[in-house]
Amino acid sequence: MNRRITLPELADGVAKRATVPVSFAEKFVQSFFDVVEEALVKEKLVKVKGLGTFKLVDVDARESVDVNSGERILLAAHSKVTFTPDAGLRDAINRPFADFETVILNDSTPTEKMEAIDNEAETVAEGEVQAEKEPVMVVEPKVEAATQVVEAAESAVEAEPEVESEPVAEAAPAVEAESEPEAEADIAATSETEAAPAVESEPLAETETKAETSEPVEAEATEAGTAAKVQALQSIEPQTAAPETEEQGTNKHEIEEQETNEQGKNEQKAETETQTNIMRKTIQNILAALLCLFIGYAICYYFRPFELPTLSPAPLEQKATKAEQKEAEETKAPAEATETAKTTETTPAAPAAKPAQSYQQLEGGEYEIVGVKGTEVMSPGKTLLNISLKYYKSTDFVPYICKMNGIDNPDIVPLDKELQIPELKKK
Amino acid sequence: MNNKEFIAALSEREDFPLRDTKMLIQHLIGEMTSQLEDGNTLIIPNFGTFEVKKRMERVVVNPGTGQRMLVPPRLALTFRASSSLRAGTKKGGDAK
Repeated sequence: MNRRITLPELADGVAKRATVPVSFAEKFVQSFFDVVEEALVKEKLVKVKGLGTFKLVDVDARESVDVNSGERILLAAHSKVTFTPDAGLRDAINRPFADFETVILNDSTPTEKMEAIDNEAETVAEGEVQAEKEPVMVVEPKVEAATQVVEAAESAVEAEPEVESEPVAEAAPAVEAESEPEAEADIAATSETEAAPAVESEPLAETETKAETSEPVEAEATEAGTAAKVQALQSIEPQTAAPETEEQGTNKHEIEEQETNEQGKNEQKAETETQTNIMRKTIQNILAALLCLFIGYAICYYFRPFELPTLSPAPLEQKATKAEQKEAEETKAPAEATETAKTTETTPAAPAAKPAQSYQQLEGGEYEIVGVKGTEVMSPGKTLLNISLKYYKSTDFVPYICKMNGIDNPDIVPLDKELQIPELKKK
Repeated sequence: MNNKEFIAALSEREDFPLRDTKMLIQHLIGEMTSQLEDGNTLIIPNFGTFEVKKRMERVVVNPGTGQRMLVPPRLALTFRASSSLRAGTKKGGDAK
């Protein structure tokens, strides 16, 4: 293949085929081409059966550019030799590709296929992204609650408890229902907002009783002197929030007593607030909470790893415990209000610390496998790299997955093999 | 000059029987064909070069109908005249 055959070698082959002396064959081959040349000069056309047609073609004079000097030069008219192979020879040479046929392309088919493939890849990627988003969503309300608490603490102590209870409700599907009462409350509350802080201390004492049942709330509300409409709305809100928090609390296993106590105080405050300033603040808080939800969602989506969702149970538990402890702690006086402000500030710190740990795990260094994070069934298109990327946001954890599943060669993983994704903890 | 005339000319030049000349030409062309089929390049001094080149597949459009067609790849025999042949035929064609 691709050897360069010269005339002697060609003559050699001819001699073998025709069983004639090599020297004679060589002379004959030379003569063959000499005759072709002579005939070309004489008749401009030579047809050789089995080989093809040599032809002299006249070329008209044309202008061109000298490659070196760049000057325009005139190429004189001349003749050139062309060769057209015989049909038999042409087909014989093209035999390797003889099975190919010209295909008529439909306008859309090829591109559609390509696009379909692309779409599949995209949908798969999107599905993964969505899966990632969902856990993040759970985390966000908590983060928002923390941020809200901080903000509320700065503005007023009273606002804080409400903020916490509201985000919890938002985490549940009930967010929209709450928003409506809030809107109503806003109107009434706008005038009261300034006066409210002063009244707060008194309402707090009243709210203790309210926390246990909704009925007392109404009586207290009248005492506080806040708008009747606002109170009614407020009384509804705390009630709705409380059941939700309790439900969430059932799911939680561990409850920190200190945190729960603090939260309980917060709830008491919230009750007192409901009578007076709560309405306005709740409205403001809800709006702020919604903004925080969006912001927090965006932040979480971009920066939070999957591990964050695991943190969520703790805050929820705290909330639940708050609801329970509220009743018990309601007896405590308005003095607790100031404490609650402090506590609310501290509570956000705890959730913040946990994410920090998870980040450390993600970052470089050595990790130890402390549990099973999840399972993944190998299917076409899945690789250890993208699984690692999915669970750890990094492709650097393939060795841990391999170790967990006893994979010796990361390049060869059996189809349908169920992989256990290790929970990693930094040593 | 057709094939018959070409064989006659070669026979006369070689002073060789017409039948044997025809037979030898067949062997020569058979040898050339087999070499070219193997993808080898034939270099004939003072005449030219026979070479098999691969033409890649391409999409052509019928200007009249706008229909697009995919033309498959193919192996084509090309011939390039040597410089001496070109020099000899540059003006020789006018003689006729």
